[in-house]
Amino acid sequence: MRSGILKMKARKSQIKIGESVAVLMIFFILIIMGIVFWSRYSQMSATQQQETDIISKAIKTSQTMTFLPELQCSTLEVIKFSCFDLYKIRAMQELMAENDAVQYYFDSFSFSNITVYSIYPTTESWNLYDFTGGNISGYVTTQIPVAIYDPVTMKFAFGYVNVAAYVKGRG
Amino acid sequence: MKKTRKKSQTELLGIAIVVIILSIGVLILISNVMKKTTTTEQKREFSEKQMATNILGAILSTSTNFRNDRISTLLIDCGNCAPDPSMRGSCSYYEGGQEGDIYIPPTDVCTYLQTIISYMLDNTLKVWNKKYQFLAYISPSYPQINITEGIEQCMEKSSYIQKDFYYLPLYPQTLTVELSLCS
Repeated sequence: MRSGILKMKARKSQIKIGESVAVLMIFFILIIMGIVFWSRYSQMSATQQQETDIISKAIKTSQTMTFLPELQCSTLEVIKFSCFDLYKIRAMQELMAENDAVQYYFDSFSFSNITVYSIYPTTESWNLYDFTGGNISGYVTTQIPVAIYDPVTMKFAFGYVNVAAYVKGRG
Repeated sequence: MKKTRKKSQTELLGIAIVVIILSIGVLILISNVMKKTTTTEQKREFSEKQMATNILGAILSTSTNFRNDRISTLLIDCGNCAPDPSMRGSCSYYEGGQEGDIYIPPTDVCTYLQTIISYMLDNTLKVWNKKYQFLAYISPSYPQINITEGIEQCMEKSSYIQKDFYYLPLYPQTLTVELSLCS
């Protein structure tokens, strides 16, 4: 009789232990699933963040470029919005051929390529800045339409600034 | 009996805690995703709005071979023409000629502008995969100039369209120049 009761108690405890083990297993499975899901999500969001940062960088560079006094059209000290002076573009292109100038503008333009294109009436382009600084794994481009003013003929052409922000590669 | 009830209450409390923890996790995840989408959306809207403003400004100030006038001056001329191309007999007339890379045959000022502006937009917005609509009108139902490229696809989600306007004075009305953009 006594041994029967003892056996039953032992079985009950075994069932309880089994129950606890099952609960713990489910708990740990949930935690592992959570960790896996979270790590994948953070990896994905890190990539997205990197993309967003590069887009922001490209927008920032193009903004800096648009408001650069070295290029802006001005008449009697009045600056015309989204307009570049043709002769200032040519002068800047010559200036940028020197290494010191690239270093000087690095703080503003960082790792990027900046080219001004004229679309109408003639097709022409001027590369103003290009600095890769070693390996690159890609680039993000932004364009800003501008008017290009020729102060000699007093005519405006239609064009745009293309800013390619380089994505630095590893190594 | 009392002991069993207490046990089931404790188990229910456990389930409630698990549910609360899971809900908090899901809420944090959703809020993060929403925040990120909003930031990207705001950046896209900003850059498109700015592009619309810049492109309109640049187009209007561009000089042409038509009497050496700027596009804004020619648009004012065009605003005085009838929207219907067959009724533009009294409009300013272009003799025809080479305009940079394009040849424009003799035509009225509105058709001349339509060709030039289409050329500009084809070589910029179309190349950058933007959908757009350029309109110049006194009454929106009868535009003098209408250049459209795939904007219909964006009409369902009107919030995705960024617009910019310029107003040119015509006596006694106003000519509205409108550019709508969407990616």
